[in-house]
Amino acid sequence: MTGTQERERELVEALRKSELDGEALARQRTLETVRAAYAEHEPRQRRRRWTAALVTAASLTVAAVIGLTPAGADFRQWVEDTIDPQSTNPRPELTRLPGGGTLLAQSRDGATVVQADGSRRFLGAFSATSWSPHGLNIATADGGTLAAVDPAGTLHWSISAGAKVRFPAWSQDLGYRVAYLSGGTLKVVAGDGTGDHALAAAANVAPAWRGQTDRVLAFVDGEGDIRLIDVDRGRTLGRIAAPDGVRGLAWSGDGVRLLAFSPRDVQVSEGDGEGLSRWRAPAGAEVEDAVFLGDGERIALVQTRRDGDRTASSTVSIFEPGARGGSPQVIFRTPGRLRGLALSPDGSRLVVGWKDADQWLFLEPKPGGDVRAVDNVSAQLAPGRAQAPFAAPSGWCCSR
Amino acid sequence: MPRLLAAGIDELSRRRERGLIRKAQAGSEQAIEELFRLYWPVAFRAASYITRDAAAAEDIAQESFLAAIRNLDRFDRSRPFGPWFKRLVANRAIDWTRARKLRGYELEEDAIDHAPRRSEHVDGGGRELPEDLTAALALLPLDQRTAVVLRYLLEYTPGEIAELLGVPRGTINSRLRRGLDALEGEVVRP
Repeated sequence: MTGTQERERELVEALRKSELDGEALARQRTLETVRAAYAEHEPRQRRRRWTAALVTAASLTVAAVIGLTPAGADFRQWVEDTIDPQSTNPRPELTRLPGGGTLLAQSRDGATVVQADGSRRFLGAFSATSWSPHGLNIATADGGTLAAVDPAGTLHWSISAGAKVRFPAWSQDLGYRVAYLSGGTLKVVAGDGTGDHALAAAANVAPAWRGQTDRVLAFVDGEGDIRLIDVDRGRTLGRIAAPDGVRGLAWSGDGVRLLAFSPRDVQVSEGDGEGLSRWRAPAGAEVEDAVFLGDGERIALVQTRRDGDRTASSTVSIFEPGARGGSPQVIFRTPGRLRGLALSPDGSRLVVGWKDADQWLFLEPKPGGDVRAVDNVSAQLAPGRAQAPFAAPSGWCCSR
Repeated sequence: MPRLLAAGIDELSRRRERGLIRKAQAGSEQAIEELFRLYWPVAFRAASYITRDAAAAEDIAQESFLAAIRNLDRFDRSRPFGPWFKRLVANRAIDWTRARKLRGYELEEDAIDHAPRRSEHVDGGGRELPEDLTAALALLPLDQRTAVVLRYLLEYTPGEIAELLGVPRGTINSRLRRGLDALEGEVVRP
Protein backbone atom coordinates (compact mmCIF):
# COMPACT_ATOMS: atom_id res chain seq x y z
CA MET A 1 0.00 0.00 0.00
CA THR A 2 1.38 3.43 -0.94
CA GLY A 3 1.67 6.29 1.51
CA THR A 4 -1.28 8.06 -0.07
CA GLN A 5 -3.46 4.97 0.06
CA GLU A 6 -2.46 4.42 3.66
CA ARG A 7 -3.42 7.94 4.74
CA GLU A 8 -6.67 7.71 2.77
CA ARG A 9 -7.51 4.47 4.58
CA GLU A 10 -6.73 6.11 7.90
CA LEU A 11 -9.01 9.00 7.05
CA VAL A 12 -11.87 6.73 6.06
CA GLU A 13 -11.51 4.75 9.28
CA ALA A 14 -11.40 7.88 11.39
CA LEU A 15 -14.45 9.44 9.74
CA ARG A 16 -16.46 6.26 10.11
CA LYS A 17 -15.62 5.68 13.74
CA SER A 18 -15.70 9.19 15.14
CA GLU A 19 -19.05 9.95 16.69
CA LEU A 20 -19.84 13.66 16.76
CA ASP A 21 -21.08 15.67 19.68
CA GLY A 22 -24.85 15.51 19.82
CA GLU A 23 -25.00 12.57 17.45
CA ALA A 24 -26.56 10.14 19.94
CA LEU A 25 -29.39 12.54 20.82
CA ALA A 26 -29.98 13.41 17.19
CA ARG A 27 -30.08 9.69 16.33
CA GLN A 28 -32.68 9.03 19.02
CA ARG A 29 -34.86 11.96 17.95
CA THR A 30 -34.69 10.96 14.31
CA LEU A 31 -35.34 7.30 15.02
CA GLU A 32 -38.58 8.21 16.78
CA THR A 33 -39.64 10.30 13.79
CA VAL A 34 -38.67 7.51 11.40
CA ARG A 35 -40.67 4.95 13.40
CA ALA A 36 -43.72 7.22 13.32
CA ALA A 37 -43.35 7.87 9.59
CA TYR A 38 -42.89 4.20 8.85
CA ALA A 39 -45.93 3.27 10.94
CA GLU A 40 -48.02 5.50 8.67
CA HIS A 41 -46.50 3.93 5.57
CA GLU A 42 -48.66 1.28 3.96
CA PRO A 43 -46.58 -1.77 3.07
CA ARG A 44 -46.18 -2.49 -0.61
CA GLN A 45 -47.48 -6.05 -0.55
CA ARG A 46 -50.74 -5.17 1.16
CA ARG A 47 -51.40 -2.32 -1.27
CA ARG A 48 -50.38 -4.36 -4.26
CA ARG A 49 -53.15 -6.87 -3.71
CA TRP A 50 -55.65 -4.05 -4.00
CA THR A 51 -53.81 -2.47 -6.90
CA ALA A 52 -53.63 -5.76 -8.77
CA ALA A 53 -57.35 -6.31 -8.37
CA LEU A 54 -58.14 -2.80 -9.56
CA VAL A 55 -55.74 -3.02 -12.48
CA THR A 56 -57.23 -6.35 -13.52
CA ALA A 57 -60.75 -4.99 -13.35
CA ALA A 58 -59.79 -1.83 -15.22
CA SER A 59 -57.94 -3.82 -17.88
CA LEU A 60 -60.93 -6.05 -18.47
CA THR A 61 -63.19 -3.03 -18.79
CA VAL A 62 -60.86 -1.28 -21.23
CA ALA A 63 -60.45 -4.48 -23.24
CA ALA A 64 -64.21 -4.82 -23.42
CA VAL A 65 -64.62 -1.25 -24.58
CA ILE A 66 -61.80 -1.28 -27.12
CA GLY A 67 -61.90 -4.80 -28.37
CA LEU A 68 -65.43 -6.11 -28.02
CA THR A 69 -67.77 -3.25 -28.73
CA PRO A 70 -68.45 -1.30 -31.91
CA ALA A 71 -67.65 1.87 -30.03
CA GLY A 72 -64.19 0.52 -29.34
CA ALA A 73 -63.07 1.19 -32.88
CA ASP A 74 -63.62 4.88 -32.33
CA PHE A 75 -62.01 4.92 -28.90
CA ARG A 76 -58.74 6.54 -29.84
CA GLN A 77 -60.50 8.97 -32.11
CA TRP A 78 -62.74 9.94 -29.22
CA VAL A 79 -59.78 10.69 -27.05
CA GLU A 80 -58.16 12.89 -29.65
CA ASP A 81 -61.26 14.56 -30.93
CA THR A 82 -62.88 17.79 -30.07
CA ILE A 83 -66.13 17.41 -28.21
CA ASP A 84 -68.86 19.51 -29.71
CA PRO A 85 -69.66 22.22 -27.16
CA GLN A 86 -73.36 21.67 -27.72
CA SER A 87 -72.99 18.03 -26.73
CA THR A 88 -72.76 18.99 -23.06
CA ASN A 89 -76.59 19.00 -23.04
CA PRO A 90 -76.66 21.27 -20.03
CA ARG A 91 -79.30 20.88 -17.38
CA PRO A 92 -81.13 24.09 -16.61
CA GLU A 93 -81.04 23.69 -12.83
CA LEU A 94 -78.42 22.80 -10.29
CA THR A 95 -80.27 20.21 -8.22
CA ARG A 96 -77.31 18.15 -7.04
CA LEU A 97 -73.55 18.02 -7.28
CA PRO A 98 -72.25 15.06 -9.27
CA GLY A 99 -69.44 13.80 -7.04
CA GLY A 100 -71.19 14.94 -3.85
CA GLY A 101 -69.51 17.01 -1.17
CA THR A 102 -69.76 20.78 -0.86
CA LEU A 103 -68.40 23.25 -3.35
CA LEU A 104 -67.09 26.78 -2.94
CA ALA A 105 -67.55 29.16 -5.85
CA GLN A 106 -65.88 32.51 -6.30
CA SER A 107 -67.09 35.49 -8.29
CA ARG A 108 -65.97 39.08 -8.23
CA ASP A 109 -68.86 39.75 -5.83
CA GLY A 110 -67.85 37.15 -3.29
CA ALA A 111 -68.00 33.50 -2.28
CA THR A 112 -70.89 31.05 -2.35
CA VAL A 113 -71.25 27.59 -0.80
CA VAL A 114 -73.06 24.96 -2.87
CA GLN A 115 -74.25 21.88 -1.00
CA ALA A 116 -74.52 18.36 -2.43
CA ASP A 117 -78.26 18.84 -3.00
CA GLY A 118 -77.60 21.93 -5.09
CA SER A 119 -78.72 24.44 -2.44
CA ARG A 120 -76.66 27.61 -2.29
CA ARG A 121 -75.70 30.18 0.31
CA PHE A 122 -73.87 33.41 -0.38
CA LEU A 123 -71.13 33.61 2.26
CA GLY A 124 -70.04 37.22 1.87
CA ALA A 125 -67.97 39.59 -0.19
CA PHE A 126 -64.82 37.54 0.25
CA SER A 127 -62.07 37.64 -2.35
CA ALA A 128 -60.68 34.16 -1.58
CA THR A 129 -61.64 31.14 0.50
CA SER A 130 -60.26 27.80 1.70
CA TRP A 131 -61.95 24.82 3.33
CA SER A 132 -60.85 23.48 6.70
CA PRO A 133 -60.04 19.73 6.59
CA HIS A 134 -63.55 18.43 7.29
CA GLY A 135 -65.49 21.30 5.79
CA LEU A 136 -66.63 22.65 9.14
CA ASN A 137 -65.08 26.07 8.56
CA ILE A 138 -63.86 28.26 5.74
CA ALA A 139 -60.92 30.65 5.85
CA THR A 140 -61.81 33.83 4.03
CA ALA A 141 -60.05 36.94 2.82
CA ASP A 142 -61.65 40.38 2.70
CA GLY A 143 -59.26 43.27 2.15
CA GLY A 144 -56.79 43.21 5.03
CA THR A 145 -58.89 40.82 7.11
CA LEU A 146 -58.53 37.08 7.47
CA ALA A 147 -61.62 35.43 8.94
CA ALA A 148 -63.06 31.99 9.65
CA VAL A 149 -66.73 31.40 8.97
CA ASP A 150 -68.77 28.21 8.91
CA PRO A 151 -70.69 27.12 5.79
CA ALA A 152 -73.79 28.85 7.17
CA GLY A 153 -71.88 32.10 7.14
CA THR A 154 -71.44 32.48 10.92
CA LEU A 155 -68.26 34.35 11.77
CA HIS A 156 -65.99 32.52 14.23
CA TRP A 157 -62.94 34.72 14.32
CA SER A 158 -61.15 37.40 12.35
CA ILE A 159 -57.78 39.11 12.44
CA SER A 160 -56.33 42.18 10.78
CA ALA A 161 -53.28 41.34 8.73
CA GLY A 162 -52.07 44.87 8.07
CA ALA A 163 -52.11 44.44 4.29
CA LYS A 164 -54.36 42.81 1.70
CA VAL A 165 -54.90 39.14 2.47
CA ARG A 166 -54.52 36.70 -0.40
CA PHE A 167 -54.60 32.93 -0.78
CA PRO A 168 -55.79 31.72 2.62
CA ALA A 169 -54.93 28.02 2.92
CA TRP A 170 -56.21 25.86 5.78
CA SER A 171 -53.92 22.96 6.68
CA GLN A 172 -55.46 19.66 5.69
CA ASP A 173 -54.47 17.24 8.42
CA LEU A 174 -55.95 18.38 11.72
CA GLY A 175 -56.62 21.94 10.70
CA TYR A 176 -54.33 23.49 13.26
CA ARG A 177 -52.94 26.17 10.95
CA VAL A 178 -54.05 28.67 8.34
CA ALA A 179 -51.41 30.09 6.01
CA TYR A 180 -51.94 33.19 3.92
CA LEU A 181 -50.11 35.93 2.09
CA SER A 182 -50.20 39.53 3.17
CA GLY A 183 -48.18 42.31 1.56
CA GLY A 184 -45.57 39.97 0.09
CA THR A 185 -45.18 38.02 3.34
CA LEU A 186 -46.16 34.45 4.11
CA LYS A 187 -47.94 34.32 7.46
CA VAL A 188 -49.41 31.55 9.58
CA VAL A 189 -52.09 31.70 12.23
CA ALA A 190 -53.49 28.90 14.40
CA GLY A 191 -56.85 27.43 13.41
CA ASP A 192 -58.53 29.33 16.26
CA GLY A 193 -57.22 32.68 15.05
CA THR A 194 -54.43 33.02 17.61
CA GLY A 195 -50.66 33.26 17.20
CA ASP A 196 -50.55 35.12 13.90
CA HIS A 197 -46.94 35.49 12.76
CA ALA A 198 -44.85 36.11 9.65
CA LEU A 199 -42.68 33.33 8.22
CA ALA A 200 -40.94 34.57 5.08
CA ALA A 201 -41.09 36.79 2.04
CA ALA A 202 -43.22 35.14 -0.60
CA ALA A 203 -44.21 35.49 -4.24
CA ASN A 204 -47.82 35.92 -5.27
CA VAL A 205 -48.66 32.21 -5.44
CA ALA A 206 -51.00 30.28 -3.14
CA PRO A 207 -49.07 28.28 -0.52
CA ALA A 208 -49.86 24.56 -0.33
CA TRP A 209 -49.93 22.37 2.77
CA ARG A 210 -48.38 18.95 2.49
CA GLY A 211 -50.99 16.28 3.17
CA GLN A 212 -51.00 14.27 6.38
CA THR A 213 -49.27 16.93 8.45
CA ASP A 214 -50.01 20.41 9.68
CA ARG A 215 -46.35 21.21 9.82
CA VAL A 216 -44.97 21.33 6.29
CA LEU A 217 -45.90 24.04 3.83
CA ALA A 218 -44.72 24.64 0.27
CA PHE A 219 -44.63 28.19 -1.01
CA VAL A 220 -42.81 30.26 -3.60
CA ASP A 221 -40.26 32.47 -1.90
CA GLY A 222 -39.05 35.94 -2.77
CA GLU A 223 -36.39 34.53 -5.10
CA GLY A 224 -38.92 32.52 -7.04
CA ASP A 225 -37.87 29.13 -5.65
CA ILE A 226 -40.25 26.65 -4.13
CA ARG A 227 -39.45 26.24 -0.45
CA LEU A 228 -40.67 23.60 1.94
CA ILE A 229 -40.84 24.97 5.42
CA ASP A 230 -41.50 23.50 8.84
CA VAL A 231 -43.88 26.16 10.09
CA ASP A 232 -43.46 25.22 13.75
CA ARG A 233 -39.71 25.59 13.76
CA GLY A 234 -39.51 28.13 10.96
CA ARG A 235 -36.92 25.94 9.28
CA THR A 236 -36.47 25.39 5.58
CA LEU A 237 -36.68 21.67 4.84
CA GLY A 238 -36.02 21.83 1.13
CA ARG A 239 -35.78 24.08 -1.87
CA ILE A 240 -36.85 23.18 -5.39
CA ALA A 241 -36.41 25.22 -8.53
CA ALA A 242 -39.77 26.47 -9.77
CA PRO A 243 -40.82 26.87 -13.39
CA ASP A 244 -40.48 30.47 -14.58
CA GLY A 245 -43.68 32.39 -13.86
CA VAL A 246 -44.96 29.69 -11.50
CA ARG A 247 -48.69 30.13 -11.01
CA GLY A 248 -49.76 27.38 -8.64
CA LEU A 249 -48.68 24.59 -6.27
CA ALA A 250 -50.49 21.44 -5.17
CA TRP A 251 -49.59 18.31 -3.20
CA SER A 252 -50.82 14.86 -3.98
CA GLY A 253 -53.22 13.63 -1.32
CA ASP A 254 -50.61 11.38 0.27
CA GLY A 255 -48.16 14.28 0.57
CA VAL A 256 -45.55 12.55 -1.58
CA ARG A 257 -45.58 14.55 -4.80
CA LEU A 258 -45.58 18.28 -5.35
CA LEU A 259 -47.02 19.86 -8.48
CA ALA A 260 -45.96 23.30 -9.67
CA PHE A 261 -47.25 24.87 -12.85
CA SER A 262 -46.66 27.99 -14.86
CA PRO A 263 -48.29 29.04 -18.13
CA ARG A 264 -45.61 27.07 -19.98
CA ASP A 265 -44.62 24.19 -17.71
CA VAL A 266 -45.99 21.53 -15.44
CA GLN A 267 -43.43 20.27 -12.95
CA VAL A 268 -43.82 17.32 -10.61
CA SER A 269 -41.29 16.22 -8.02
CA GLU A 270 -41.07 14.27 -4.85
CA GLY A 271 -41.40 16.64 -1.94
CA ASP A 272 -37.65 16.43 -1.47
CA GLY A 273 -36.95 17.58 -5.03
CA GLU A 274 -36.03 14.09 -6.23
CA GLY A 275 -37.58 12.49 -9.29
CA LEU A 276 -38.32 15.82 -10.85
CA SER A 277 -40.05 15.81 -14.22
CA ARG A 278 -41.29 18.65 -16.38
CA TRP A 279 -43.75 18.82 -19.21
CA ARG A 280 -43.87 21.85 -21.48
CA ALA A 281 -47.11 23.03 -23.02
CA PRO A 282 -47.17 23.14 -26.83
CA ALA A 283 -46.41 26.46 -28.50
CA GLY A 284 -49.43 28.75 -28.33
CA ALA A 285 -50.99 26.94 -25.37
CA GLU A 286 -50.97 28.07 -21.75
CA VAL A 287 -51.59 26.05 -18.62
CA GLU A 288 -54.39 27.73 -16.66
CA ASP A 289 -54.83 25.30 -13.82
CA ALA A 290 -53.72 21.86 -12.68
CA VAL A 291 -54.69 19.43 -9.91
CA PHE A 292 -53.67 15.93 -8.90
CA LEU A 293 -56.23 13.22 -9.38
CA GLY A 294 -57.02 10.94 -6.46
CA ASP A 295 -54.30 8.40 -7.23
CA GLY A 296 -51.61 11.06 -6.80
CA GLU A 297 -49.97 9.88 -10.02
CA ARG A 298 -52.03 11.58 -12.72
CA ILE A 299 -52.78 15.24 -13.19
CA ALA A 300 -55.73 17.09 -14.68
CA LEU A 301 -54.80 20.19 -16.67
CA VAL A 302 -56.73 23.12 -18.06
CA GLN A 303 -55.03 24.68 -21.06
CA THR A 304 -56.02 27.57 -23.28
CA ARG A 305 -54.86 28.18 -26.80
CA ARG A 306 -54.99 31.82 -27.71
CA ASP A 307 -55.76 33.38 -31.06
CA GLY A 308 -54.24 36.85 -30.85
CA ASP A 309 -55.73 38.63 -27.84
CA ARG A 310 -58.77 36.43 -27.52
CA THR A 311 -58.94 32.92 -26.17
CA ALA A 312 -59.63 30.54 -28.99
CA SER A 313 -60.20 27.29 -27.17
CA SER A 314 -59.64 25.50 -23.89
CA THR A 315 -59.08 21.89 -23.02
CA VAL A 316 -59.16 19.68 -19.96
CA SER A 317 -56.57 16.92 -20.18
CA ILE A 318 -55.31 14.05 -18.09
CA PHE A 319 -51.73 12.99 -18.01
CA GLU A 320 -49.16 11.12 -16.01
CA PRO A 321 -45.87 13.00 -15.76
CA GLY A 322 -42.53 11.30 -16.03
CA ALA A 323 -41.16 8.63 -18.30
CA ARG A 324 -44.39 6.67 -18.65
CA GLY A 325 -46.53 9.75 -19.02
CA GLY A 326 -46.49 10.66 -22.67
CA SER A 327 -48.72 13.48 -23.82
CA PRO A 328 -51.84 14.70 -22.08
CA GLN A 329 -55.06 13.08 -23.24
CA VAL A 330 -57.79 15.60 -23.92
CA ILE A 331 -61.04 14.72 -22.17
CA PHE A 332 -62.90 17.94 -22.95
CA ARG A 333 -62.39 20.72 -25.46
CA THR A 334 -64.43 23.85 -25.95
CA PRO A 335 -64.34 27.35 -27.39
CA GLY A 336 -63.75 30.07 -24.82
CA ARG A 337 -62.01 29.94 -21.49
CA LEU A 338 -62.36 27.47 -18.65
CA ARG A 339 -61.85 28.78 -15.12
CA GLY A 340 -61.46 27.04 -11.80
CA LEU A 341 -60.64 23.34 -11.58
CA ALA A 342 -61.40 21.13 -8.60
CA LEU A 343 -61.64 17.42 -7.88
CA SER A 344 -64.59 15.98 -5.98
CA PRO A 345 -63.88 14.48 -2.56
CA ASP A 346 -64.48 10.97 -3.89
CA GLY A 347 -62.27 11.61 -6.94
CA SER A 348 -65.04 10.70 -9.37
CA ARG A 349 -65.54 14.12 -10.96
CA LEU A 350 -63.67 17.21 -11.97
CA VAL A 351 -65.55 20.48 -12.03
CA VAL A 352 -64.56 23.42 -14.18
CA GLY A 353 -66.33 26.69 -14.95
CA TRP A 354 -67.08 27.64 -18.56
CA LYS A 355 -67.69 31.35 -18.33
CA ASP A 356 -68.59 31.97 -21.98
CA ALA A 357 -71.46 29.49 -21.77
CA ASP A 358 -72.29 30.32 -18.11
CA GLN A 359 -71.97 26.61 -17.33
CA TRP A 360 -70.29 24.36 -14.81
CA LEU A 361 -68.97 21.14 -16.28
CA PHE A 362 -68.69 17.99 -14.19
CA LEU A 363 -66.30 15.63 -15.98
CA GLU A 364 -65.36 12.06 -15.26
CA PRO A 365 -61.54 12.24 -15.14
CA LYS A 366 -60.87 9.77 -17.93
CA PRO A 367 -60.89 9.76 -21.71
CA GLY A 368 -64.43 9.23 -22.95
CA GLY A 369 -65.84 9.83 -19.49
CA ASP A 370 -69.28 11.20 -18.75
CA VAL A 371 -69.81 14.97 -19.01
CA ARG A 372 -72.58 16.64 -17.06
CA ALA A 373 -73.21 20.34 -17.45
CA VAL A 374 -75.33 22.82 -15.57
CA ASP A 375 -76.45 25.96 -17.35
CA ASN A 376 -77.27 29.46 -16.23
CA VAL A 377 -74.96 29.24 -13.23
CA SER A 378 -74.65 32.98 -12.57
CA ALA A 379 -78.36 33.55 -12.13
CA GLN A 380 -78.77 30.41 -10.02
CA LEU A 381 -76.05 31.51 -7.60
CA ALA A 382 -77.34 35.10 -7.40
CA PRO A 383 -81.12 34.90 -7.84
CA GLY A 384 -82.95 38.16 -8.30
CA ARG A 385 -79.96 39.94 -9.57
CA ALA A 386 -79.65 40.97 -13.21
CA GLN A 387 -76.21 40.69 -14.80
CA ALA A 388 -74.82 38.56 -11.97
CA PRO A 389 -71.11 37.85 -12.45
CA PHE A 390 -69.95 34.35 -13.26
CA ALA A 391 -68.74 32.32 -10.29
CA ALA A 392 -66.00 29.78 -10.88
CA PRO A 393 -65.55 26.69 -8.72
CA SER A 394 -62.76 27.28 -6.21
CA GLY A 395 -62.69 24.37 -3.74
CA TRP A 396 -64.48 21.06 -3.26
CA CYS A 397 -64.90 19.46 0.12
CA CYS A 398 -65.06 16.97 1.94
CA SER A 399 -65.40 13.45 3.21
CA ARG A 400 -66.98 14.05 6.61
CA MET B 1 -7.47 -7.82 3.13
CA PRO B 2 -7.30 -10.21 0.16
CA ARG B 3 -9.36 -8.91 -2.73
CA LEU B 4 -11.47 -12.08 -3.07
CA LEU B 5 -12.37 -11.99 0.61
CA ALA B 6 -13.28 -8.31 0.39
CA ALA B 7 -15.46 -8.99 -2.67
CA GLY B 8 -17.17 -11.80 -0.79
CA ILE B 9 -17.94 -9.54 2.16
CA ASP B 10 -19.31 -6.90 -0.23
CA GLU B 11 -21.59 -9.48 -1.80
CA LEU B 12 -22.79 -10.62 1.62
CA SER B 13 -23.50 -6.98 2.53
CA ARG B 14 -25.44 -6.45 -0.66
CA ARG B 15 -27.51 -9.59 -0.08
CA ARG B 16 -28.22 -8.53 3.46
CA GLU B 17 -29.19 -5.06 2.29
CA ARG B 18 -31.53 -6.46 -0.38
CA GLY B 19 -33.12 -8.63 2.28
CA LEU B 20 -33.63 -5.64 4.54
CA ILE B 21 -35.22 -3.61 1.74
CA ARG B 22 -37.55 -6.50 0.89
CA LYS B 23 -38.61 -6.84 4.51
CA ALA B 24 -39.02 -3.08 4.92
CA GLN B 25 -41.20 -2.98 1.81
CA ALA B 26 -43.32 -5.72 3.36
CA GLY B 27 -43.79 -3.77 6.58
CA SER B 28 -41.00 -4.89 8.91
CA GLU B 29 -40.18 -2.16 11.43
CA GLN B 30 -37.13 -4.14 12.49
CA ALA B 31 -35.78 -3.97 8.94
CA ILE B 32 -36.29 -0.23 8.67
CA GLU B 33 -34.49 0.26 11.97
CA GLU B 34 -31.60 -1.87 10.77
CA LEU B 35 -31.34 0.25 7.61
CA PHE B 36 -31.46 3.34 9.83
CA ARG B 37 -28.66 1.96 12.00
CA LEU B 38 -26.57 1.23 8.94
CA TYR B 39 -27.04 4.47 7.05
CA TRP B 40 -28.16 7.31 9.31
CA PRO B 41 -24.80 7.86 11.06
CA VAL B 42 -22.94 8.41 7.82
CA ALA B 43 -25.72 10.73 6.63
CA PHE B 44 -25.60 12.80 9.82
CA ARG B 45 -21.81 12.99 9.87
CA ALA B 46 -21.53 13.90 6.19
CA ALA B 47 -24.15 16.62 6.58
CA SER B 48 -22.49 17.87 9.78
CA TYR B 49 -19.07 18.16 8.18
CA ILE B 50 -20.39 19.84 5.06
CA THR B 51 -22.82 22.26 6.70
CA ARG B 52 -21.07 22.74 10.07
CA ASP B 53 -24.56 23.26 11.49
CA ALA B 54 -25.81 20.53 13.80
CA ALA B 55 -29.49 21.43 13.43
CA ALA B 56 -29.24 21.56 9.65
CA ALA B 57 -27.39 18.25 9.63
CA GLU B 58 -30.09 16.62 11.73
CA ASP B 59 -32.77 17.96 9.38
CA ILE B 60 -30.88 16.82 6.29
CA ALA B 61 -30.27 13.31 7.61
CA GLN B 62 -33.83 12.99 8.88
CA GLU B 63 -35.51 14.28 5.74
CA SER B 64 -33.30 12.07 3.59
CA PHE B 65 -34.34 8.99 5.52
CA LEU B 66 -38.00 10.01 5.45
CA ALA B 67 -37.71 10.52 1.69
CA ALA B 68 -36.27 7.01 1.46
CA ILE B 69 -39.28 5.65 3.36
CA ARG B 70 -41.69 7.54 1.12
CA ASN B 71 -40.01 6.06 -1.93
CA LEU B 72 -39.54 2.59 -0.49
CA ASP B 73 -42.30 0.99 -2.52
CA ARG B 74 -40.81 2.21 -5.77
CA PHE B 75 -37.26 1.23 -4.90
CA ASP B 76 -35.72 -1.26 -7.30
CA ARG B 77 -34.16 -3.98 -5.12
CA SER B 78 -31.74 -4.96 -7.85
CA ARG B 79 -29.93 -1.68 -7.19
CA PRO B 80 -27.95 -0.98 -4.03
CA PHE B 81 -29.66 1.21 -1.44
CA GLY B 82 -26.56 2.91 -0.08
CA PRO B 83 -25.53 4.98 -3.11
CA TRP B 84 -29.11 6.07 -3.70
CA PHE B 85 -29.57 7.16 -0.10
CA LYS B 86 -26.20 8.87 0.06
CA ARG B 87 -27.08 10.86 -3.04
CA LEU B 88 -30.18 12.19 -1.27
CA VAL B 89 -27.94 13.32 1.57
CA ALA B 90 -25.22 14.76 -0.63
CA ASN B 91 -27.66 16.75 -2.75
CA ARG B 92 -29.39 18.16 0.29
CA ALA B 93 -26.17 19.15 1.99
CA ILE B 94 -24.84 20.79 -1.17
CA ASP B 95 -28.14 22.58 -1.73
CA TRP B 96 -28.08 23.82 1.85
CA THR B 97 -24.63 25.34 1.55
CA ARG B 98 -25.52 26.93 -1.78
CA ALA B 99 -28.73 28.36 -0.39
CA ARG B 100 -26.77 29.83 2.52
CA LYS B 101 -24.34 31.39 0.12
CA LEU B 102 -27.15 32.81 -1.99
CA ARG B 103 -28.63 34.39 1.09
CA GLY B 104 -25.33 36.03 1.90
CA TYR B 105 -24.14 33.92 4.80
CA GLU B 106 -20.39 33.76 5.07
CA LEU B 107 -19.76 30.10 5.58
CA GLU B 108 -16.13 30.28 6.48
CA GLU B 109 -16.09 32.81 9.31
CA ASP B 110 -18.34 30.95 11.70
CA ALA B 111 -16.32 27.78 11.43
CA ILE B 112 -14.95 27.63 14.93
CA ASP B 113 -18.25 28.06 16.78
CA HIS B 114 -20.07 25.46 14.76
CA ALA B 115 -17.32 23.02 13.99
CA PRO B 116 -18.46 19.52 14.86
CA ARG B 117 -16.31 17.96 17.53
CA ARG B 118 -15.51 14.37 18.16
CA SER B 119 -16.79 12.96 21.44
CA GLU B 120 -15.05 9.59 21.44
CA HIS B 121 -11.37 9.30 20.97
CA VAL B 122 -10.77 5.60 21.28
CA ASP B 123 -11.78 3.03 18.72
CA GLY B 124 -12.82 -0.53 19.44
CA GLY B 125 -9.25 -1.77 19.56
CA GLY B 126 -8.15 0.79 22.08
CA ARG B 127 -5.99 2.63 19.55
CA GLU B 128 -6.18 6.38 19.78
CA LEU B 129 -7.79 8.03 16.80
CA PRO B 130 -6.35 11.28 15.47
CA GLU B 131 -7.62 13.67 18.12
CA ASP B 132 -8.11 16.79 16.05
CA LEU B 133 -9.16 15.21 12.80
CA THR B 134 -12.77 16.27 12.88
CA ALA B 135 -11.91 19.78 14.00
CA ALA B 136 -9.26 20.00 11.31
CA LEU B 137 -11.73 18.77 8.71
CA ALA B 138 -14.27 21.34 9.83
CA LEU B 139 -11.72 24.09 9.37
CA LEU B 140 -11.01 23.23 5.74
CA PRO B 141 -12.46 25.61 3.16
CA LEU B 142 -15.94 24.57 2.06
CA ASP B 143 -14.91 23.30 -1.37
CA GLN B 144 -12.11 21.08 0.01
CA ARG B 145 -14.20 19.92 2.93
CA THR B 146 -17.10 18.95 0.69
CA ALA B 147 -14.83 17.05 -1.68
CA VAL B 148 -13.15 15.18 1.19
CA VAL B 149 -16.46 14.23 2.80
CA LEU B 150 -17.99 13.10 -0.49
CA ARG B 151 -14.88 11.04 -1.28
CA TYR B 152 -13.99 9.47 2.06
CA LEU B 153 -17.27 9.36 3.95
CA LEU B 154 -19.87 8.98 1.20
CA GLU B 155 -17.44 7.03 -1.02
CA TYR B 156 -18.00 8.86 -4.29
CA THR B 157 -15.35 8.67 -6.97
CA PRO B 158 -13.72 11.95 -8.06
CA GLY B 159 -15.67 11.73 -11.31
CA GLU B 160 -18.96 11.38 -9.47
CA ILE B 161 -18.09 14.28 -7.18
CA ALA B 162 -17.28 16.41 -10.22
CA GLU B 163 -20.69 15.59 -11.64
CA LEU B 164 -22.46 16.32 -8.36
CA LEU B 165 -20.78 19.68 -7.92
CA GLY B 166 -20.69 20.63 -11.57
CA VAL B 167 -16.94 21.27 -11.71
CA PRO B 168 -14.14 19.62 -13.73
CA ARG B 169 -12.69 16.39 -12.39
CA GLY B 170 -9.24 17.94 -12.24
CA THR B 171 -10.59 20.57 -9.87
CA ILE B 172 -11.92 17.84 -7.60
CA ASN B 173 -8.59 16.02 -7.64
CA SER B 174 -6.88 19.24 -6.73
CA ARG B 175 -9.31 19.94 -3.88
CA LEU B 176 -8.87 16.42 -2.55
CA ARG B 177 -5.09 16.68 -2.67
CA ARG B 178 -5.02 20.03 -0.90
CA GLY B 179 -7.57 18.82 1.63
CA LEU B 180 -5.57 15.69 2.39
CA ASP B 181 -2.38 17.68 2.68
CA ALA B 182 -4.02 19.97 5.20
CA LEU B 183 -5.27 16.99 7.18
CA GLU B 184 -2.10 14.98 6.89
CA GLY B 185 -0.70 15.94 10.24
CA GLU B 186 -3.90 14.72 11.89
CA VAL B 187 -4.46 11.58 9.87
CA VAL B 188 -1.13 9.88 9.53
CA ARG B 189 0.09 10.53 13.02
CA PRO B 190 0.37 7.13 14.69
